[in-house]
Amino acid sequence: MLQNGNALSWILTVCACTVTPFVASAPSQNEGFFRLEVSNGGRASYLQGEKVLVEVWFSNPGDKPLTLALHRAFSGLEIDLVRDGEKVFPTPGGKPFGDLDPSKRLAFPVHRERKQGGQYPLTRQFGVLAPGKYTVRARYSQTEEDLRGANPYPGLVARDQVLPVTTGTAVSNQVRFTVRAWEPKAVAEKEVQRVVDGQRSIVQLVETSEGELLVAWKSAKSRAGEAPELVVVPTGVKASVRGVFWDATDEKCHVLYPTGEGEKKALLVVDKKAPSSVSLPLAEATLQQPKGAMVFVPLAALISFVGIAVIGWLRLRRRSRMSPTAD
Amino acid sequence: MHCLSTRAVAGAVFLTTMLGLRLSGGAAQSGDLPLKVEVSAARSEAYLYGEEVVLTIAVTNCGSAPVGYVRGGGNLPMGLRLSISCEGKDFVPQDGHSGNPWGDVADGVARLEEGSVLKERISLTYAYGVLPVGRYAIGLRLDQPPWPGVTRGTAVSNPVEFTVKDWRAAAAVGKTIECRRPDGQVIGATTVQLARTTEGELLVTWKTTFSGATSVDFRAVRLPPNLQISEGLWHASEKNCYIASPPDDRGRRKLVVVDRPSSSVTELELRQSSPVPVVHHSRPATKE
Repeated sequence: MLQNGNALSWILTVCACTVTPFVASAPSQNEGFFRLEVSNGGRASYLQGEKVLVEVWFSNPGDKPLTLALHRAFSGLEIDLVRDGEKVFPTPGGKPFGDLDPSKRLAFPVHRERKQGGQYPLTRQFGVLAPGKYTVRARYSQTEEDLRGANPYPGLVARDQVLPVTTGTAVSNQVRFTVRAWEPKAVAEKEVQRVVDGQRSIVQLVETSEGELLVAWKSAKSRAGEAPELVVVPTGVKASVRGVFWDATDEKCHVLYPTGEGEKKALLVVDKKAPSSVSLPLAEATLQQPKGAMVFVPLAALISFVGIAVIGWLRLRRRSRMSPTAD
Repeated sequence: MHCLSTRAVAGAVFLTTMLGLRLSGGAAQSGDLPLKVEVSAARSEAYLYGEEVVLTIAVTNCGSAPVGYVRGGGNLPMGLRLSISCEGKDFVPQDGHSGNPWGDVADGVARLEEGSVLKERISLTYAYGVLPVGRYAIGLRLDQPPWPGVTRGTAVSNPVEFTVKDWRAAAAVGKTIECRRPDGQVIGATTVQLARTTEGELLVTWKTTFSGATSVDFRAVRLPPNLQISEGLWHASEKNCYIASPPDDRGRRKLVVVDRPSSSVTELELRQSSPVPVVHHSRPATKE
């Protein structure tokens, strides 16, 4: 089960390329079983409240194909999270890996050099991580019973294909990261309505004591059994929160701020879902006449004026010749 | 060629029928199936050249029994065919466009219950490419094949007409962005323009040309008419354009976000922040 309870959001990605994850220690597995790797993209630290996303990859280190029989939500996968040497337990109502019906496992072959995996926010299972030094590790076991109850994965298994029996246990490498506390120096806030359930939540534009802007989305009320939601997105922009122009929804926050280089301004677009932040330089929207028109319009006017003047002069000349003279 | 001429004849016959129906009282539906096929353009006024033309199609079972149909890729029945003519001539999709917004892959047989509606929005621009300037007439016809579980017959939609009109920029500001492959190689360029037309409309346009290709990808998106852009600010990328108006007398700025892929325009109101300083109380020292 992943974010918003959508099992399909765990995208089963098969990639033939080799990805080198941030490996802090070597993974281990039984012979003839999967190799399991965990990565957080090499990030060393997070601010408290930031989404901590880990990638979990299954790969086949041997020559023979292996059968992976797991749920779309990676049922059977366990995550060990340790803070400052002590085990962290899931929050009440936190969604662990594999909280769906185990009989709905799907089996498919994984060939050599192939990787299978997905991304999972740790905060979904463990809530907002308190400041400290963390290690995370994944563990996966597969029994004959798991294989018997599994259905062939549509599109990946041919109709009469017999899949090899693959059983064993794999323990992933360990990934280390730090969660840092932050202090607000000044805060501007706005109440918004959540798109999903219409609930009210608060968006805060915060200038931290270190002078950096960050955006925090806080649910005013928690959903049944879940910890109140807090999503913090750092922007990497050093600016004062005073005098900026801003607006926020449940999903995005836009901040127009002075860059500090003369009169220049930039637009900060902060996305809660991705989560990401990008600063876009703004230019003056001064509309100008297209170059062709600028040349053509005065030229056309000049030609018309000269034409009219010449015709007028010719007519006057003719009239003066035809008129009787008073000799 | 033979295929095209067949299409042209079929289209002409179909559109003649449609226009005939319209002149004789504008019947919204015809055919022997108890289905009402309705088609409408998203906008009543004319489209500007380059704007995305979107149609809304609704198929309603107005009979007293369920109707079996072949399900296609989307919501609509697969036997639905779109006829489109420009200035009275059968309109052919441009290079690289299928002209078929639904696809040709059957996805089983389904039943449409009495009173139920199948609805979908389709982009004519996606199916046909950028529509040239002209007056267009559109109609739909549903032919149900003789398949088990499928109710045989035909249904014809109401006709829809719309115009795509030309425009010229009276004033504009623009920038050019290089299109690069992931390996960094330049494969083309996109020019983004913020323009005011000679008729006073505000537009954002994207024009992408790829090296070695003759085709040009063009898209225009109309901005809100009351948007104040003089002394405003803007930023454009290959996919988005942001326009911030100058502060109004209440100290607010309008931010318009234009999305090229969906042709959507989102208006936001940026307010000047009035932040509250956060006071951190230090713990008072206690005497032991």
